[in-house]
Amino acid sequence: MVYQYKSRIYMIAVFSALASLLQLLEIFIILPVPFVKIGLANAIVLFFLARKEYGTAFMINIIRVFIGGFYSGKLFSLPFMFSITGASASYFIMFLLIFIFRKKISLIAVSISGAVIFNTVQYFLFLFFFGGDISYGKTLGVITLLSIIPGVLTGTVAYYLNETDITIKKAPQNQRG
Amino acid sequence: MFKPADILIYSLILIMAAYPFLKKTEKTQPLIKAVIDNRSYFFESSKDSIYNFEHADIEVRDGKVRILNSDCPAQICVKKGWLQKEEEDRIICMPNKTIISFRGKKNSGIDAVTE
Repeated sequence: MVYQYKSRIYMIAVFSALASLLQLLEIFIILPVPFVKIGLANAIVLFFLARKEYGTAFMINIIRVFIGGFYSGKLFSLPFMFSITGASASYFIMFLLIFIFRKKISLIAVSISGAVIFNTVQYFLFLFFFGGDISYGKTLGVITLLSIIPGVLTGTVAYYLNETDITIKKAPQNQRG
Repeated sequence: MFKPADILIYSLILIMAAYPFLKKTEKTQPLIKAVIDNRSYFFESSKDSIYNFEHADIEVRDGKVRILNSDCPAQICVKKGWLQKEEEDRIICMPNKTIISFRGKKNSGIDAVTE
């Protein structure tokens, strides 16, 4: 299947909507481990990163956080700030890993590192805002271990998404319609 | 599904997760924190000594601390006596703007105790 786009903005709109819908629906998926959410929206970001659509992936990642803020009713509040910082940081790490290692890295490893960074950054932000000595303690070890579960799940979804023969390319300019 | 660079990432994350558990935690001596006129001073509770300040003398002995003498009128801080680590209390001298407390574990699980 070939997906052709004339302007990236429609693609960004459609997939941001899909990502935020996944983000909403995963509330109903209950994992046996507390404090863990899957973060299926990240699978779409990973998919676009793997297809070398870096800008699109970043826009989807940011826009889905904003839409998530809308329907949780916490737009521009402190949890939203944590969320957007974590999302940006994890995007940065995932982009770096994919950019450096290219074909030598699997999407699952990228996903796990993204999840770990997402949670670590939010933990440090929490300490920064609410006090507490910023040190590398046991809480961070537990956070890292817990991040592996959603990382593996999201990475697997992204892997199977990437295996499908969807190619994204720019439509030729001179055509109409 | 598994590619060569993954080993690097997985090992890094395992080190990140395991490091805080394997790290040897040094037993730190409880510190005594004295805030005098908006300035913080830290004393080791294991070292017996008498510290002289402008308005008060602070004595540290056997891991306990007290205000030896003070020039405040009511002498509440002197009458308070020795402060131990377990009490999680503090010595306060309002006229001299002095607060003495132990620094260490903050969360005891109890917010406040009334007596």
